[in-house]
Amino acid sequence: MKQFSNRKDVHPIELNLTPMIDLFVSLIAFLLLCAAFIRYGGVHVEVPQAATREDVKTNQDSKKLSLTFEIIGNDVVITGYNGDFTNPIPSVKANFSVTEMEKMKEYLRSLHQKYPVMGISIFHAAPETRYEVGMHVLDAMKASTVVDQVVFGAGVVE
Amino acid sequence: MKIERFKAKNPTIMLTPMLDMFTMILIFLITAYAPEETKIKKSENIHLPMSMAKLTKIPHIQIEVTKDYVKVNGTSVTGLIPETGNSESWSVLKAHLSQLDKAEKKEPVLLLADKETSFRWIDRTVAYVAAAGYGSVYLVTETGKEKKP
Repeated sequence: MKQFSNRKDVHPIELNLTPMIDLFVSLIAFLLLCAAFIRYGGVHVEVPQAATREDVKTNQDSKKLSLTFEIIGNDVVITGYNGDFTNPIPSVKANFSVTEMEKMKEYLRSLHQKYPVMGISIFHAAPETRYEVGMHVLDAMKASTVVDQVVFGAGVVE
Repeated sequence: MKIERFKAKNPTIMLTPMLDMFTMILIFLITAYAPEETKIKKSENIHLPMSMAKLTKIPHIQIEVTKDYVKVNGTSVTGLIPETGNSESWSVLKAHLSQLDKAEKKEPVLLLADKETSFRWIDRTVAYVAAAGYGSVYLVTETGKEKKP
């Protein structure tokens, strides 16, 4: 029984908080310095060159619906074409104001039900269009989930 | 009359609420931490448009476009002022981009422009990016709830 007689010598366990607080302060300082509080997004578009080779060739072979989106003033003009953009489809033509992007998304979804296979889409904005307006339309196109591959209709330079 | 002296207690720091607060700040900062996005170097005068799209990859080549200058990876393209520039001054951009590593041409280019910038300059820049052999472009925005333009 003698072995239990020294119990009163046992010290209470104390958590050493100082190094823990030091670590927390250092981490907070580091994260505050490195954190990016602005979240960036991005719309991925292909440039004209990349889409004029294989993509158009494959479009010719299939019955894909290809679309062009053109911003003129405050309107977005959507025109539908057969695969290689040579023959417009008269029934696929619509105009939307840049403030009616929800309507445009609905229209694109209804088109997708009629034409399940979508080809590439060309996006072009008139020179005087503000970048913000163009991005608003591009964002709506991508958000509709119908338009996947977008080619930026920039002029071609040598 | 005997005045009782106020017994001074030993001052103690309340560590528990302090630790709680530190933990909360730490959790917030860890969730907000986006080391990749700090690679985007944007000039202060550029106000990006808003969108819901997410940026999945941060490419190495970043081009900043305004009506007054075009910057490639933070360096102004000498002699190129988009508003007054002719095709000769624009071809400097193509030459500048063509000099970059060929392996990087497989990557998309990051394009930053102020929301008020005219599409005329965006079009031109993208055309010269294409002419330099690049295949795609990321048009950078700020994410969040988009306001109607």
